[in-house]
Amino acid sequence: MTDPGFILAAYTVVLGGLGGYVVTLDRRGRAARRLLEAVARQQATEPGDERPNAPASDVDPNTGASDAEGRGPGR
Amino acid sequence: MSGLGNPGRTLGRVAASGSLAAVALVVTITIGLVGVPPDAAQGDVQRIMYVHVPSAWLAYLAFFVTLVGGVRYLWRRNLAWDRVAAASAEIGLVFTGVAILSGAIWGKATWGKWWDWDPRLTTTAILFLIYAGYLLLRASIVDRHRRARLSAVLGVVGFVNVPIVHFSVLWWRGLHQAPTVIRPGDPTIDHLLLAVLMANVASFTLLYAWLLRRRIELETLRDRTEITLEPSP
Repeated sequence: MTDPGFILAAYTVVLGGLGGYVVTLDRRGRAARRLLEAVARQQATEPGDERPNAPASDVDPNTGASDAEGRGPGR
Repeated sequence: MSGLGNPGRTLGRVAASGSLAAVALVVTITIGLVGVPPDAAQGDVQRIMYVHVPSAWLAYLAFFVTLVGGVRYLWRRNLAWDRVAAASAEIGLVFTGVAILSGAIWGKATWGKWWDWDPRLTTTAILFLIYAGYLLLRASIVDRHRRARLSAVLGVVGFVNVPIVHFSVLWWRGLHQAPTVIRPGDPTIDHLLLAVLMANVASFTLLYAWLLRRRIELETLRDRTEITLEPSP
């Protein structure tokens, strides 16, 4: 490798490494924010969700049965 | 300390400081690559110094902030300081990694080999492992205060290796050159090259400050999620 090759490799490692970390940090931040929002939404809906009366989303639209009533596997 | 008070304004400030760091990096790196003459002894390959040395110094700074965050947590038991410590440790690990890799490339160009069990290289590798262990420790403990306490202790003890890394080139003989800037007496580096190096250190420091802010935000979001998921008493 010549001098320019070594310089290019070193700058690629440093800038690529730091740039890659910036991108990863951004993605992790977005994912953490989404998770927090989802958890907060779930917590907000939980008071009305008193088992065995399952939320509407858990009710099978075909049979009207819910998870709480033990439809079993195979849905 | 959370940095999440007003999301709109915070995002604006973070974007502005990120842009400032990016512009500063482009300017100082360009000057280092094409704006200054090559080193008299090493030629153009010495230009690696302008990214290798700032990476290593920023690793020192990041681990010092981890030390301060850990000590403050142990003193005040305030988790905000634990978040600062954790955020800085991860960034320091990234800077250590790029310093090791860019140093290996520089070593191949000047010494003819990628790696040597030279005191500076070996102690830097140990530094990397200590802070990788710090992050693994954090990932393995669920209780937030226990995690903060144990990692603060490791952050304080681990920092002992930083001066060992720095002075290893004076204490033991090896391939790595002795300090040219932070040393007893005047710097031995040419003043123009030193000015460009300092400009790069400044722009890397701006990048570090921006990264630290972003990383603390992430840690705060994670803490909030954990608090939300904790069962009510």
